[in-house]
Amino acid sequence: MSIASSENCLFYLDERGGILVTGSFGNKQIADKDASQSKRFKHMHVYFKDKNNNELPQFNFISASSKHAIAIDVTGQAWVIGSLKHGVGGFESANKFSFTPIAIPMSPFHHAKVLLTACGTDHSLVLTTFGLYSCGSNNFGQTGMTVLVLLSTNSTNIC
Amino acid sequence: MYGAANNVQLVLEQDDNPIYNTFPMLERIVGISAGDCHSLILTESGNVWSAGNGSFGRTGRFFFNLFLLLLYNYLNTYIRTGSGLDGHDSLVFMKIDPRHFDNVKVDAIAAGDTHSLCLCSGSVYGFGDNCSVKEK
Repeated sequence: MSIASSENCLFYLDERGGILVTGSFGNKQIADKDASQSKRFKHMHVYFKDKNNNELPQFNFISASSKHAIAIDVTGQAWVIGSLKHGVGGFESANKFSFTPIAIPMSPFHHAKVLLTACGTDHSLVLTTFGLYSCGSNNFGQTGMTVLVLLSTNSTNIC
Repeated sequence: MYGAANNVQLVLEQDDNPIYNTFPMLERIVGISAGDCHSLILTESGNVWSAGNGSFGRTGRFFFNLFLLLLYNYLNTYIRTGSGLDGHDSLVFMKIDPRHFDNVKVDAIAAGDTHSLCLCSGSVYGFGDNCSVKEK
């Protein structure tokens, strides 16, 4: 089980690895996008499937910010929920928001398992068995990579 | 029972383009945490590294990061991110002086929006914005 909260949302993983959520990301009611009220937990595994109509997997860890959350399933795959702006999910997308968890690309991690994630307001940290990765807004250097990015290529692991 | 993970296909947009940054660490990382505009890393030896916006002292370092600031400004046109840095901001992860924790090994870290907390052998050390009495 895992729990994660930010200033406006709360995620809870139940004993079966399902995601329960209440609250909002910004002005988007992540818990219940079709209702004005969001003061109750919504079970994402009941309400959401992926774009291929597959059920969501079991999750064992989740972290959240006020705009997005990143969950890790039992296989070590990371999924992003909510805002996709600034590349907080580690990829660029035409969609700036997703109510449905989106599996993030694992190729930058050399398909290593994701162990931990941390969500800042507009940036993310991902710890894998291969190393630590960061993405998203770097306007204050919060991804820790401003200088090193200049000295290396974006997707090249220099561990 | 929920669907098995190996039956779930990855949902990726057509225009997905991985944009992760990677960087070297000399120690094994056992904890990570992210605040509004700063990040914390906890290593196996109990050291804490921080990066990002250092206003309110949330990164636990208070010296003027002049060299990196000048380098950043000089190379700013080649950087895809914006500016807005001040002297307390850190552009790379830097270790917090363990003397701030009385040289006690840090067991856990947590980053809030504008403050940070470190658990050290049963004691909690806090630094950063204290406007709502976040520190004890």
